[in-house]
Amino acid sequence: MMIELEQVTKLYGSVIGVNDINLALKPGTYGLLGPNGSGKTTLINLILGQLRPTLGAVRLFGKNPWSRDSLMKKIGLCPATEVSYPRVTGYQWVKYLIRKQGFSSRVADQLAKKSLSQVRLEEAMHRPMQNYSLGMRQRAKLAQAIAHEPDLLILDEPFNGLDPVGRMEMIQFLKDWAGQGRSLILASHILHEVEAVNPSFLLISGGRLLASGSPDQVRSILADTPNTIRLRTSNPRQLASQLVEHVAVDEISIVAAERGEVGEVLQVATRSAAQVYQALPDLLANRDVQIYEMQSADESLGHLFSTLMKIHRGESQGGPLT
Amino acid sequence: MPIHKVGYRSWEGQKIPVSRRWWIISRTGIRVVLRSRWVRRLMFICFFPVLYWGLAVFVLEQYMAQPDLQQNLSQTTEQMRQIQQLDLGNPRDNRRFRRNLPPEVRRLQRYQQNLAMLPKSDVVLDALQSPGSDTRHTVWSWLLMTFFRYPQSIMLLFLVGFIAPGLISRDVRSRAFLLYFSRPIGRFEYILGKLVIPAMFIAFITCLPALVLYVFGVMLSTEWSIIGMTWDIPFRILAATLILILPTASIALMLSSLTQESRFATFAWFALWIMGHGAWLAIVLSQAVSFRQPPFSAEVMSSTLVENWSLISLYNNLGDVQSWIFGFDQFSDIWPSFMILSFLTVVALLILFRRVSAPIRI
Amino acid sequence: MRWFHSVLATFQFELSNFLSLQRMAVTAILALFPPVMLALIFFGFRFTSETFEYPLIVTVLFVSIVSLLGMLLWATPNIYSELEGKSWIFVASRPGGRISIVLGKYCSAVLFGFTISLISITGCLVVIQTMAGSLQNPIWVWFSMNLLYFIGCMSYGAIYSLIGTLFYRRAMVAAAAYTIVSGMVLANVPAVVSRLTLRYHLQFIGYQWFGEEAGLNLSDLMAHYALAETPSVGWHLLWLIIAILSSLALAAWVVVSCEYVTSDET
Repeated sequence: MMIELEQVTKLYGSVIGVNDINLALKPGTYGLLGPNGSGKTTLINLILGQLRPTLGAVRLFGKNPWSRDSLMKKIGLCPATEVSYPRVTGYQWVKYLIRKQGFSSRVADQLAKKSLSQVRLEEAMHRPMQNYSLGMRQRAKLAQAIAHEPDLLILDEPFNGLDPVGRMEMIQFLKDWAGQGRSLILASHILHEVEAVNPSFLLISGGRLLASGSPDQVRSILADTPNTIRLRTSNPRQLASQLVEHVAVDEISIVAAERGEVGEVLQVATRSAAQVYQALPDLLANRDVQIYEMQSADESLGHLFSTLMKIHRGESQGGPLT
Repeated sequence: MPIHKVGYRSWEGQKIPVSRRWWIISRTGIRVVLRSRWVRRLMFICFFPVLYWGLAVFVLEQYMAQPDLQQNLSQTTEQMRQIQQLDLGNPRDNRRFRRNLPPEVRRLQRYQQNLAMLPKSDVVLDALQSPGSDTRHTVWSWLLMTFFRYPQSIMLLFLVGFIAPGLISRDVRSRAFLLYFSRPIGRFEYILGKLVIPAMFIAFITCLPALVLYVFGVMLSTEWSIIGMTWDIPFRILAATLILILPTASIALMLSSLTQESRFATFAWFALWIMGHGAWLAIVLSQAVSFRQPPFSAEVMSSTLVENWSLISLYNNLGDVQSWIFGFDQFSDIWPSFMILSFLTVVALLILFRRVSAPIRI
Repeated sequence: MRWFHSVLATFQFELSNFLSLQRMAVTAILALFPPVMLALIFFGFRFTSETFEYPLIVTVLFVSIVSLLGMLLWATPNIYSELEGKSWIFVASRPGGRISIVLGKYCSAVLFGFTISLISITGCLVVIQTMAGSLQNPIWVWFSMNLLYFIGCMSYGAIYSLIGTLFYRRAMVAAAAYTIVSGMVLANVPAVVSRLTLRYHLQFIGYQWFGEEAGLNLSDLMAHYALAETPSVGWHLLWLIIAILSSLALAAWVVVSCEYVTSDET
């Protein structure tokens, strides 16, 4: 196992950082998802050995990270914190941190230049960091994390401050990283950005690990829970008359299409989106109805977490609790 | 059924007048500072000297209330005066002679030398030697002056070093000026609000315990007429507190406004005191070696070098002005110290205003 | 070698940070304060009939003040500066990162503190020789004072580094309190407790190396501490080396054992 947490709890005085977390992760790609203040950074710092668990035990590559900081050779960390060295250039900063890995000045120089060119900062690397944009500082942070070619890369909110092009480049970089067979933990509160890297998910909220699994397993949680489906069709009223007879459908409404769209839109509130999806092909067969677009209005992290909380409170049916 | 409007509504009630808005900043700042356990501990420790000084007041009142003890004290001070006037020579040169002196004489000489290190102690000895109606006023004023000068001023140094450096530097660092000045708060309200924060803590450790000592003295006196004889002392206490607050709070906040990193402001605060007073102490010690006398002896302290260079010490300047406030010096004796403190206060406030007015970084 | 590179990296990085206008200005003010003050005192004496008899004593005290202040500024906030600048996690998540931060910053602080004292001592001795010409062996005085202050910077730097790891949020206040209590109170007490202070040992070394030139009598110091005979300079140096090594070792242990929580985590 790469990372193991056994009944780990971390308290800051009376404030709960993380609460009774059990985790066993093999090498791979993981998305650590949770709203702000859910305990993502605390969990990362426990894994890195920067914090000691109040209860339980943490193992990283089979060893206790608190007492074995030599494990840090295998880790690259890109934290969420802002970098604050106004007069230092990106190159100087990255080289300094590489040298703190134990490399000589000459080797650190080569590694710094290589990693800065990987993140496309080579033209700006000799400028003071106070002149960097937010995206450039983010890339400099990434450069120092990957320069020593770690086995495990941990990124905490890496998309903060990035423009759409920057986000796309970051996603591509992370996909390439994962594609090289290296491990990755990506902590964020934005579902679709993490999803693009196709990781396994770890869903954390209020310091508790609510769920973990592959993207399909997470989708299945949403599929079997109350949801609103939006269908843009050629004949919404005819389709509505068919759907209203389905037992999983709670409510149907027809709304005007949004600007730029053709036709009216059918909104179907259902207690199980999966059953509706299964029923649609039969309903559409031999009918003169075309569906142009279909999406779930509730496919968001907020909905996912509120669904999970309902499951944990017993207010909703979900998968078996472990 | 009437439908109630629940959308956005502007406030139509009364707002706090502009003249009081600074208090919001002060109140919040004081609450934040009081969250620190170390500040609360330090404030608790700052009251310990009250016990020691209270004991001195108690002993004095006992002597004043009992004629036998009064005569005893008067004789003791007379003997100390005589010993002071005896030419026992340089302590380093005649140790054998001094060892042969009676123990009582050596003891009195030690008391006299220790007392001589304190400012204006000769005035107190005169008052005790010939007790009269103004003895209490003189001795109480002297006790309060030494109370301000020694334990409380030193504790003020540490307390303000705890509190003040982060007050403005954190706002600079976190760009909180945008939050402050996007509200109807001006620079004056902001600065006044921030100044009141260290001022309140300084007053708590100086004015409040001093007033407690005064009340303690009144309670231990035999007659209520003591209030009539010492009515001015509470006002002198308030004045001495103000003299402590104005330059120290201004300078501390000015230093805080000059940097984003509070540790540099902390360093500058301590450096200001240590360099000034330390340099003066260095001069005192060199003169002590030169005269072959104990440091702070009358001969050393009256040397030209020591007197002239006393002005570089902020601590000495504050002490000199307090000495005037408590009636032990004339203004003509201490005006250089007063001018230095006034100058430092004005410069500090000007720099503070300038820093707070500087273009806000986005 | 990994440790060496890591400590050296911190040392060089701190050195590069030092070369900013603000920091060089602070260093210049501290370094030039003693010679300027000394020159002003000499100048003031020209208007009186008195003579400035012991300028070297004043020099020693002035330089002590500015060296201590320099060490207070650079050695004490070793952890807090990283926490305040939110760069702690970057250095702590390196192998040996915590210890190398303490040791690297200690080395840079000693260098800065010694630079201040070197400039101060040189300036002061030039002023003394120019204004009074009273030193009989100025080269020896210059060399021995610089050596003493180098040892002093290393000693106080180690203690301040330890204080910086223990009381990281209020490191400067704690270090100032330590300096006043140990240097001005305990060191003067003629009892065993004074031998636990750094000033006691540095004082004896200074008296023996250049006390005569300064007009100081070693027998006065021995009488103050009620010593029949004074231990050799080697003994005092040994004590100081033990104090340095044990302080640094303790600081390293503390920094590795403590959790330094940043505000992001609470």
